[in-house]
Amino acid sequence: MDENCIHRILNGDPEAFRQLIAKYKDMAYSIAMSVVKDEFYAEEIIQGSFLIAYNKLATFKGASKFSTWFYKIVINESFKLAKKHKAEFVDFMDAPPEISDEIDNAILKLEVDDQKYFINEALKKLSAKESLVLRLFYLDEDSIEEIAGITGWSSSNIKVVLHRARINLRYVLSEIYKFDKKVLY
Amino acid sequence: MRETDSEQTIREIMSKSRLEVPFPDFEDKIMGLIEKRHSKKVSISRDIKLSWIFFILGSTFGIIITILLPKIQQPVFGINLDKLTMPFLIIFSFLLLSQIDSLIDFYKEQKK
Repeated sequence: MDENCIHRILNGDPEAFRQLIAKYKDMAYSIAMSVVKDEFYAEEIIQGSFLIAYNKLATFKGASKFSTWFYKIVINESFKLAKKHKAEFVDFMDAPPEISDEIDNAILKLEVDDQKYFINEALKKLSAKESLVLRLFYLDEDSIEEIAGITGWSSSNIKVVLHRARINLRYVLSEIYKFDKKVLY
Repeated sequence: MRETDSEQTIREIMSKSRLEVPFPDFEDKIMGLIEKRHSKKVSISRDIKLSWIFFILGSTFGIIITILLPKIQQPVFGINLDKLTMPFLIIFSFLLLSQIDSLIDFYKEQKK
């Protein structure tokens, strides 16, 4: 489907690009949010990334998946903007986390909207790298090699980040959940 | 076993982490920007063509004047045209080189 759209765009049918936007906008937004943690910056990033992708589409030779090529652009744009606003995005977590299985289960028993709220709040508190690797690995179901291709990081680095990210996510999730419970009850 | 359970939990948690673009007009906005850029590109490309046409016309005219000036022996408005040849050549060469340089830069920029 992607190849067909790209072929149509390159043959002078820009409307075909709308299908690519519809297909990739949410994952691109999730990726950008992983890095910049702000919805307006994330919108700016994906808007710019789609324009770059459109203008450079002729250079896409199909050696990788379109998503790999496009997410690479999104990640580059995200880190560029994050660098520009360095002071505003603070990386999180040095303390060794204490994890409880009960809290994981308690969160998974909540309403879906509440679950989404807690999970996305927790991802906002993780570092850009951890949040990004988690989303690419679990949400886009990319392999370590594919993530390496998208981010340009080494496979061993990604494995380390992924391992740390899993621990940190559960820790942050439990902290947010405990804090929220304390405030509510 | 515990590792597998924990991996399963994380997988389940992460399946809920997809965010949706909260701007309903997002696709239209991008398509609008693409359309705008496309029209701008077309208009710039037309301007470049016109610039080349006028550049070639001006250069031809300049070359003709350069050749004809020394051949006119009669003074015009009391000015001896022989004395005007050198200043005219300098100005013409300067304009020719600067214009061709700008046009090439503009053309390269457009090609990007």
